[in-house]
Amino acid sequence: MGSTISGQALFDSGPQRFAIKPLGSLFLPPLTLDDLQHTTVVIEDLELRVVQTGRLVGVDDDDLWDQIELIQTRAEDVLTGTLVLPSGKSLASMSLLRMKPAGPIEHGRVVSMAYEVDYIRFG
Amino acid sequence: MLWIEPHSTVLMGTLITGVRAITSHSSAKRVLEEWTDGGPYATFIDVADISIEIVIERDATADAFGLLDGVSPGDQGVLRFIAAPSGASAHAEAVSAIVVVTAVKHILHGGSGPVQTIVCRAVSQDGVVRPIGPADGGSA
Repeated sequence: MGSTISGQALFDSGPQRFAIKPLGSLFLPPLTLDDLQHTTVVIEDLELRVVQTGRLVGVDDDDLWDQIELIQTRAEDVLTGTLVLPSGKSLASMSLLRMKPAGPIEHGRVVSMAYEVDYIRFG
Repeated sequence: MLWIEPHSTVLMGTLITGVRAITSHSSAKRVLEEWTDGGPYATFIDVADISIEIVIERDATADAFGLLDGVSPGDQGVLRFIAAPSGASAHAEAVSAIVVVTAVKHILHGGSGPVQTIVCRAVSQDGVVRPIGPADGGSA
């Protein structure tokens, strides 16, 4: 089982992994602002951020580029909805912001490209 | 692939004699391996880069030394020979490849005389076509 964002399976052609970025509060440690700041300053709650890494796989270049361009369109539209992880865990109100290639397009038995994707739940 | 006692072996325009065997070895230079969050084992493996090494082993007679004095690492040219894929096969084939020499070695074997080993890597013209295969015209 793959993942979906707002009901759309954009990355199911290949393997994918998910990592949660820091949770809780955004804070400034002592002495960050100036020499007189002697206590920790809590700013606000951190936005929930999830980073997906994986590899898109296509049977040929056209197939891979179709996937890349669809994801580009969804990211430019800031596709927002429930992010369902392969484990079944659901994260509501997540926005697909960006896909960053993690290497060249590889031509082996199949055509593939590693990537990194950012999802954020805006505060 | 192993070709035993090939004949009509030409390397960079020079006919070389006393060739005992030519072998080719394909190996992955870069393996793409990916995992999922579901478990510890890789779910995707592909080979993005392949290197093909060709090794020519020949009798290093005095005459043979003279023929290949000019071959040194970095040289590029055509290797062409006629051979059966193995000693047990009667079907002869013409094989060719564009190669770059990476090493020239001379080894003394007790009893069988000195051996010259020429190590090359095969170059593909477009990165897609396997860089060693039947020469134009196919079978010999």
